[in-house]
Amino acid sequence: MTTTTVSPRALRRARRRQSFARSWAAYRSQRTGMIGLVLLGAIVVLALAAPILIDESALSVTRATGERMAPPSAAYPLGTDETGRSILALTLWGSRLSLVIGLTATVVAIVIGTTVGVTSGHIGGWYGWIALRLSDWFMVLPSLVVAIALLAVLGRSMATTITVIALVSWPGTTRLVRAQTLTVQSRPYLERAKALGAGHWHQMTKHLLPNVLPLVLASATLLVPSAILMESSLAWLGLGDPSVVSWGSILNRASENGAVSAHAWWYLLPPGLAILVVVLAFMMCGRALEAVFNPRLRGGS
Amino acid sequence: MNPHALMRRCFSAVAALSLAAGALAVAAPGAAAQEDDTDTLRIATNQEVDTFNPFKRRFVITYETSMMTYETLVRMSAENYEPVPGLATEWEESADGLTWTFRIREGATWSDGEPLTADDVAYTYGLLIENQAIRDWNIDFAQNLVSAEATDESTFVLTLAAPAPAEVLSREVYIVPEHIWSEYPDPAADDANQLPLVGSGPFQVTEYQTDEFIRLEANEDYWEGAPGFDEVVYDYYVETDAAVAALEAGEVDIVGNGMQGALNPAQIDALKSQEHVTTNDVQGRRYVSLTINHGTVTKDGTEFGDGHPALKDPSVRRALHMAIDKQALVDTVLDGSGTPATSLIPAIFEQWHWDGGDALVQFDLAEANRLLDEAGYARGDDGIRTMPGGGEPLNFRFYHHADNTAYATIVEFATEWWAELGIAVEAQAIEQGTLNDLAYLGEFDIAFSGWGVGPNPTEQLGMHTCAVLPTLTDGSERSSENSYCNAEFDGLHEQQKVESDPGARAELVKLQQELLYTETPVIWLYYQNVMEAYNHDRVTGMTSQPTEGGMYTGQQGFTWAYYTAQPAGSTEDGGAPMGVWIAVGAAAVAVAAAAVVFAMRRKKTADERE
Repeated sequence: MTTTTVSPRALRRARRRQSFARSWAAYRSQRTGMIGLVLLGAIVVLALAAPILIDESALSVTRATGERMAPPSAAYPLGTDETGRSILALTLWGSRLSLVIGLTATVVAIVIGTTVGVTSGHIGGWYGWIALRLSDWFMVLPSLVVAIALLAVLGRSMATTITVIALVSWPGTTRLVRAQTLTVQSRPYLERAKALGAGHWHQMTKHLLPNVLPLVLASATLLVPSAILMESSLAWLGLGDPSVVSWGSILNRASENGAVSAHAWWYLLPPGLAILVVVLAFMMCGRALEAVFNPRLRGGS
Repeated sequence: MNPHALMRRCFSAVAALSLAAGALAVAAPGAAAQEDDTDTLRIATNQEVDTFNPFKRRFVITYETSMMTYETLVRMSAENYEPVPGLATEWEESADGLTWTFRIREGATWSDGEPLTADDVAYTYGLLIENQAIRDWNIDFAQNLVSAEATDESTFVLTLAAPAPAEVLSREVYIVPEHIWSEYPDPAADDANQLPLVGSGPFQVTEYQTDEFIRLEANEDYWEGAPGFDEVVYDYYVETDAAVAALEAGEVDIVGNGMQGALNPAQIDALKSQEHVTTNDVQGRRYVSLTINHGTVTKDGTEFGDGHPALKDPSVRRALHMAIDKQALVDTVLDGSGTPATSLIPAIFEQWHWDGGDALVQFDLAEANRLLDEAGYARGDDGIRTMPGGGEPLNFRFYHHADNTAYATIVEFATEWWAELGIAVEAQAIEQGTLNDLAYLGEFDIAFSGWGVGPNPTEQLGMHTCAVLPTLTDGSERSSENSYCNAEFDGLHEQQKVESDPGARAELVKLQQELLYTETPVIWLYYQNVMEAYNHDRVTGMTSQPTEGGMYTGQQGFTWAYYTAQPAGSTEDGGAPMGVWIAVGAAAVAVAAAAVVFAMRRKKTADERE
């Protein structure tokens, strides 16, 4: 490496640190964003700590000790399900799967969306046209119906659920990223880079990508709650992997086992509220991030 | 459930939502207009109609509509499923068991007024013999028929190739009207018989709207007397919870067997607290079982499919069996509404049911482990056993029906028990259609199965004989339940089919069941109770089957319950809910008035205070 007094690398790092601090200050000034962040932190900590808080054996049906669909009591603060397992344990453990599926599906969707968005915006031409039409096509498909059809064909497992959710949620990101790519593309410094001999790869990775990433981050934070909702809806419809516990699958079991007729609210409310809280937390963070990276939205507040 | 049905479910949900709004607006005047003198028996259902053609139908819903629209020569009694006169008043078997003479009831008519004669009966049985497609659909019975003739107006003679007394008396062949059916271009078509149907039973199907309702009108000239209700309407409910709510609200009269998946224990409990509802939780005719792929073969011995080699070993199957606590499954999954199963004839058919005796397998994990140790399946480093001499681990694919929550729970239990044996399973929920395809192709290790059993044990036992093994390996021939083939079993089967002494026949049937039980090609888990409920403020006098502690829905051989059902109470039953609405309305007016008065008084006091 070069050993000049201020290396370009150090300079870059310092600049990044500065811009991060600026964004963080902007984020901190938004109260909803901070509430969302705290909520989210708490949920993630709970999900990670689930094995410490409640032993996995609480999910075992053969070792369940509770009564059948018993209302909340001291031993079972949120009541039990039809096999006598604690709803509290199920909800806590369910958070892990719901979050994992939500996050993984989002990452996959974002990777696809960003790749297609940047390349189609940058390269354009025939390729850009086709990529755009493809994303249009996916965008107009009713996502839940497509997801149901795909799951019915592909079979039910965590992997297929993630794939299916990613498949129906990437086009939004593509659109966003492509628009931003086109804006950045028209700036003079890209023309200069091109004149200096920069190839497509260099332009995309060194100039375009860093400029669209903040937007991608904000849109990702908003994609997670919709992915979690989608997973819950699919699992509730009975299309989830039945051998694992997620919030949607708890709701599915509750309704299939007559919790509605039996007025077993303790079976339906905890997973439902959990979904609500997580979605809310992600939404709050996402909106705040969007405001940070898009100064036009910040202007008002 | 297939994807098609699922899509339809979703569409119907959307349709239901959009319709609901409109329905709310018109419900009130519509309900008023409906209040005429027609007594309607409303039954909840969610099963689509496959075909109204009585020779081809396979679904429960069309079994019920066929049973009401048409009739059989011999009924199954309400008391105990014994053969009793139906359209035939008496019958006689020749000494060699090959010729049967039936005397046809005089005075029976078709719902269009034409008289029913022996010619109609001969025509119907003739279809089974001569119409190739109808014959194929009923091959197990039809292949034994030689000729069907009407010797005079009221005598029908049936000739068989081999004696089959139980088959002839219990096989439900619905007699169809020759003067209508002979006009049909293709009596074997799914849509052969156009609505309204003409039959001789107590109710005839007159109207059907997919996913909305099936309407059956009473046959006022029925030979045994007009039924109590003027019509029977099957109303479609997508969710059982919705049907339960409808029963609570008095919008439907009977919820039971018509709903696939039926009521669950929580719903029965909820309904018990309703004053106008009677719940019925009684022994049923259905078993739930685990089919084990012990090697799928064709008739000529060609093996196909890809079952795990360890499952060919009876001791592995026995260990799997021993590691299932059937009583625990009945207690948790069914909340006690069932009985642990031994073999394939449920306990409701006392005369044929085999109780296990000394051979009964007891739940014993230690003993199951010992069996596997002895057979040489050593545990690997990960605790999973492998084939003797190392090699393939004991990791079984375990398929269950995606739309059945009870099965999903059983999978969880079995997975945990079998893990104690060092056996791993890969559980997968699969749509019913796909699961059946895989099962008949032999591409599974362990899979769920279940059948509603009829009073004639031959049908169920016959699915385990060598005679029904497929000839092709494409999984299209589906008469064999699980490729079971055992010469000793087949010998017993042939004997019991022709045995006319019920006691001796029962002994043979029990021996067959014991053989199946000990060889364990299938693990029978439990016999499921029938859980049903009806509105006793609207319906009364239903005959159950069996009459002592029996079921109202899911009857066999004749529609005893719906035929004997009588409208209960006054016809002005709309008064109660109307009264409630008036009370609610009055209360609302009173509250509003009170609020106005209160507000005015507050204003007044405020005024005065100033």
